[in-house]
Amino acid sequence: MTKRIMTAGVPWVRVWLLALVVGLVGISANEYLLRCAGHRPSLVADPALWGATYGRFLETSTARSVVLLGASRMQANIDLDVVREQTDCDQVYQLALSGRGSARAIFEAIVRETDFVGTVILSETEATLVSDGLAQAGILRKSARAPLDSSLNRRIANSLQSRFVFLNPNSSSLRLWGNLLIEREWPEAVHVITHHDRSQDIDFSMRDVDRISNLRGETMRQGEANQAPSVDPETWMKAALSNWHPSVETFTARGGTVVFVRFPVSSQRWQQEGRVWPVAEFWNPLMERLQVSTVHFADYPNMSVFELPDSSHIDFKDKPKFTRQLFQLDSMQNLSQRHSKNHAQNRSHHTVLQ
Amino acid sequence: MRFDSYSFFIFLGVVLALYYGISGWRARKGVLLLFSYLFYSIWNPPFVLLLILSTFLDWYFARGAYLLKTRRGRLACMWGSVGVNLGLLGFFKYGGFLVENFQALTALLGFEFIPAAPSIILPVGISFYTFQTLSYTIDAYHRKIKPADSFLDYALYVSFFPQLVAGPIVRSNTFLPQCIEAKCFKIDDLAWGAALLVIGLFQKNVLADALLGPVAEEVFATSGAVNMMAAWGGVLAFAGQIFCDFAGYSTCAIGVARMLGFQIPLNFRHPYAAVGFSDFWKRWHISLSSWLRDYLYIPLGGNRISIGRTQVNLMGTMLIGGLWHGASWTFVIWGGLHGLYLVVERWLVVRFGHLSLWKNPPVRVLLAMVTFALLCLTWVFFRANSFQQAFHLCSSMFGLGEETWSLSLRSSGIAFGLMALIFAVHGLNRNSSIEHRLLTLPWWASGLIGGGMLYLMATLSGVDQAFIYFQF
Repeated sequence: MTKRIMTAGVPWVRVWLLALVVGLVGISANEYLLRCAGHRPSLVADPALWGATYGRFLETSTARSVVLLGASRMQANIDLDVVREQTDCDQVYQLALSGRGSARAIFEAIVRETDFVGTVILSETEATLVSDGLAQAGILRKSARAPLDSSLNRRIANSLQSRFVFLNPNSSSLRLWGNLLIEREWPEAVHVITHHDRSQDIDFSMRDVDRISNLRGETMRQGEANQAPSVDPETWMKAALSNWHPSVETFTARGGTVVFVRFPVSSQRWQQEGRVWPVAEFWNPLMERLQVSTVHFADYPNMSVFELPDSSHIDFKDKPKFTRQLFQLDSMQNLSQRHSKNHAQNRSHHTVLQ
Repeated sequence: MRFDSYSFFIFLGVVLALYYGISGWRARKGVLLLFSYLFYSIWNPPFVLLLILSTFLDWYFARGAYLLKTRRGRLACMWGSVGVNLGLLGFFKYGGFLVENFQALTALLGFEFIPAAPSIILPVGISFYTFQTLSYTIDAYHRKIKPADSFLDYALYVSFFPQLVAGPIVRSNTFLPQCIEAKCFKIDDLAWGAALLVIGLFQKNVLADALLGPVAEEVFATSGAVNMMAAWGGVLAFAGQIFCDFAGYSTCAIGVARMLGFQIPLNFRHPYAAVGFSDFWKRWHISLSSWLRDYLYIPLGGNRISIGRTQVNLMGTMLIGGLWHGASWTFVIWGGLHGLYLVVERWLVVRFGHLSLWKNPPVRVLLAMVTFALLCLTWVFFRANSFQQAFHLCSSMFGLGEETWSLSLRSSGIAFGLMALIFAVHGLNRNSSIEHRLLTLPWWASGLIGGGMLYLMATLSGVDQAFIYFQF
């Protein structure tokens, strides 16, 4: 028999009461201090939240739905309400994954594992178009193994995270006390807020914009000093086509619509990037070969009028205006016409594999 | 269902209410069994059928292995159980690995063999419950135990949810006697079990996930060469992460079982205070190491045949122990290194073990540190994504790598600071347990520590990570 640990004689009620009181007082103080420092509740943009949205897409999407893929620019620059208003779609799914590069793996999964025939709007750059896209593939794999209780856990987590700051790992007690005790200052408030629909708001008023600009400028100066290697357009085209052509062709052949968007970067940054990736030699020829609708910000002056404090993301206050302008461009206009047509046909979509 | 999920607390609340709320011991055990199947099916419902199949088969195999008149018949039942259990384990866990290696072998011989990619999903916890049912049948064959009279008790032994998916691997002679007498509600059991659950979750969520895991990830996710400090920092962080993750799970399992009135044996006893590797294996994943000792090492001859055979048995046991962890050659190397350490240690003990020097406390501390350093080398192979990465990290640990990437001061502080603390705690409690130490504290100190743990668990959660041992 297992040796029994003797627990008799311990005043358990007192121990647990004290533990609960200490825990609750600590958590309340933590919450109060974080709020004093300007921290706000936000959902945690983790793979589980992505998995929940992807699950919703698999179950509820129709031919009139729009899927947004990409990385942080797509997640932070697009206002989902405006998309609904501008495109007459029934659902918008924000499936972009901030900080995780190309969305190729997710797009391929949608093409391969579903019979979705709606619209996919992809945010890519010339560099991500030829990357392996493994980071997003990892999230896709992880979400495929979600246990049955993941939906319940997600609901509880969403509800609590949208109310309490202390549940956000970016506002952890380690950060709070580390800053207060060692640096003797409040921890800088998290300026990116994630919502239930996975859209993100970047509030640059919470950050020292000058410091961000200086840091970015420094990085770019270093980039210039190191001189980015020139890329052979032919080699690049071959790699990009082999990455994208099969899935784009399959998707469009079955009636789906794909739009590739190159989101704006600051003029200073574009001076550098544009030298490496001239639109006429890279982006535009590829889009012609893929036969898809496209928006490259460099082709539309009114896309470059927004302030980009960190050189590639817009402030949440500009988001509705930016989204409206984007969806009013010619390339995007036929989306709403197409959705109206699909609506008339009332074609339903069913998931093949989940 | 994970112990660190919201749904588990709802589940546990319902189980406790029903278990203590209804009358009749048989009905209460039935509730536990039903909820154990529910707990398991949350991961992948069809696999609960596999668990039930394994339970039924071993119920009959064990009865045959014990009750049949002829030795031949009993032996056939025992081997039937071994064949079925290892067959299932082999198919689900090693199917892909075998195909992959066969393909590599045919390529080496100049043949082109391209099989269809096997897409086999590993049923969670299969390595744990197959070892548990195997031990039951083998013990019945050797007549060390009498097979259970009640199928319900036996099914609960196989499927008891607190330890079903990641151990400890419980022996039937530990568990089944506890099913005889009805467990009445005891506030001591509930409170102490809940305290163990909090300690386990603290180890997992705060120490493993929030503090040590990100540092280990930082180093092991780096594709380039890292400098010596970064290599050691990453490996130390992983050594701490895997201990806190797995020991945390075991502590949770022991705590939840205790809340239900059951006793599950300790699975870890301050392993980083081990002096030598035979000592380490008496302290790390005790339920697996004792299983391998009793059902593999001793049947192979143990140390009873010859010195050479003992060394072969040690090495063989550790290689299989490595492979048990996962279908990858890096796990085999991990097991092989442990086998090598044990072989060398045995040889050293025979030659120099009689010296009184080893009883000197500072020398013992030094030996514990050497043991830990050698252990860290094995963790590199356990965690590395490839052999190339493992060799790069090992060479960086010895200062032979190209120094290109270093760990931040904060990450280094967490890795070295926390591991020094864990090492000290293990050393100071070498002959005791944290549980005993906590129970000797004044009540207010226990309350303060518990409150601190609750506070940190709520405010210092790391990235959402499953328990590492779920994959085994």
